[in-house]
Amino acid sequence: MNLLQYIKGIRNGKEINRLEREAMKDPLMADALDGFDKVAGNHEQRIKKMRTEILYKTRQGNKHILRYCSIAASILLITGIGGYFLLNDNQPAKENIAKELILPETKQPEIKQPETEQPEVKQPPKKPLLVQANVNKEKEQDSTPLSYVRKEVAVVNETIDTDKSKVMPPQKQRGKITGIVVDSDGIPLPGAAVIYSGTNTGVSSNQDGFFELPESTENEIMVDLIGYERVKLAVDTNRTMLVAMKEESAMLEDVTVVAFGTQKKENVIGSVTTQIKKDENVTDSVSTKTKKNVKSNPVIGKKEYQKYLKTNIVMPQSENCKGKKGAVKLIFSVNAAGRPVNIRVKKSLCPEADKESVRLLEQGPDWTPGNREIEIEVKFKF
Amino acid sequence: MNRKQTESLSDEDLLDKYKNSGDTEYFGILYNRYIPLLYGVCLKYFADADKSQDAVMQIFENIFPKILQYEVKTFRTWIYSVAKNHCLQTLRKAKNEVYVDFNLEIMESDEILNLLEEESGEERNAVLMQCIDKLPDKQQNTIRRFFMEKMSYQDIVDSDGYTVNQVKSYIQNGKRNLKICIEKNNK
Repeated sequence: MNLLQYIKGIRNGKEINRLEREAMKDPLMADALDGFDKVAGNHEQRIKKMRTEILYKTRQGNKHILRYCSIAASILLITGIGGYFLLNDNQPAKENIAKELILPETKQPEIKQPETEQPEVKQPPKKPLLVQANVNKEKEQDSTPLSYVRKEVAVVNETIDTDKSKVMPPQKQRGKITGIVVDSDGIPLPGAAVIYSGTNTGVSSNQDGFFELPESTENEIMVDLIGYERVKLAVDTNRTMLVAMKEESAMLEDVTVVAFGTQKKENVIGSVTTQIKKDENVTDSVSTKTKKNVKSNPVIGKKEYQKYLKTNIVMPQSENCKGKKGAVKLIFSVNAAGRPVNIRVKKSLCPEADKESVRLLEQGPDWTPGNREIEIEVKFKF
Repeated sequence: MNRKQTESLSDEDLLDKYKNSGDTEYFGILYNRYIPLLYGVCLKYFADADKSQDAVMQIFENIFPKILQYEVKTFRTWIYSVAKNHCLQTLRKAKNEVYVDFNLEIMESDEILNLLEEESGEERNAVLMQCIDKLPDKQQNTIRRFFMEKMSYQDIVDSDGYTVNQVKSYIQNGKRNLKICIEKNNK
């Protein structure tokens, strides 16, 4: 699509001319081009992110109904490993309908039915066709009783993990697993290896980050991708699993394995730097786990920031710096106004290069406010 | 759902598929087609990437539950007006009075466009060519560059040293003058 070229900032060539001529006849196109001319930024990434989210939402839309039915049918609800058990369904009506339709089929008298906290609102189905179609599908799949793990949000972190996994009853899973692998910004990651832990059964995520694993009795999957931290999480066949991977360079924080829509902002933010230094001075009585750790990022995005550094750097000509090659490392904080403050040189190259790095940072684009120290590298090649 | 197949489907086909099958992913695919355009429109109104992104997602949330209740004949024009209205409403709510109705812009000279778009230099409308010759230099130059040599605005900026805004206004004025000239000659 040529528009994407335009969005990337390309303004030359016949294809762009074609787009510009098209805009003369199409007000929607004209407005859009004006918009992209008006605001600079990493629009491509935002668009990717939105597209992933929309696709996820609309796929989830189909799955929603399936999920409610399956819960009703199986009755058994188990909290996942280290997970929070949430029951904040927005669509109570649908669940109740599903229950009514399915309940006579269930054959698990020995299992107690946990009370759900749903308001007993009974409404006629708004889309009878839709519900019916999906219920039928579900019935086929559910000819035998099944236990289900329901995880709305699973924040896997290693400390909690070990405690609770012992309490967990063994689970049997059936059916294939589908999911999507994304980075901390929600951008799909192709080529991630998704395997059942401890086996050789696995697939890799496709171009759009999606994967589909064949059915297995394994309880855990492991997702690996070079440059990202390994993610392990419990199998969930009830929904499209969302696997959010974190770049390896960042400090060991909680791995973010979060469902869309409930992901905490501080977990979503990636980092521009090759290394992020966690604030070592945090000696609050509050543990660092509960403290909000907000990482700063360049407002214009990492890539644009790198570009800014590259295009604005002035190579020092002094004797001191002659023949020196390498990088200056700076540490700084970001204040509420988004400006870098308290800038210190962590690794010096030569006085002039250090000075130039600080100048670039001080005069450079804004950062998103945060409460963690950031470390950046400014590379010098003479 | 075969994704490759959906690529060739028209907007309206996708809507029909959604309507008939109840599979919401069809609507997701359709909306995704428009995300770059809608996001661009929002950028124009808000001049802010975050706000625009929010708006694009909000528009989706607004129409997704009830899209099937609307009678949408042409999705493109429909979604465009939905997006514009959403942006204007948001701006009004924020009491941000600074907005311009962009729609007053030039979409009028279609016939000139059509004439200019025609390929095959030999048979190009003789009157048109005469009229182009009569245009002031800068207008003439940019019109030729843009419509015949198929150079983008930026290409023209690069080669002729005008600013983008100059290029746009030369083309716009050139088109208007051409229209006047052609109408005169056709009488």
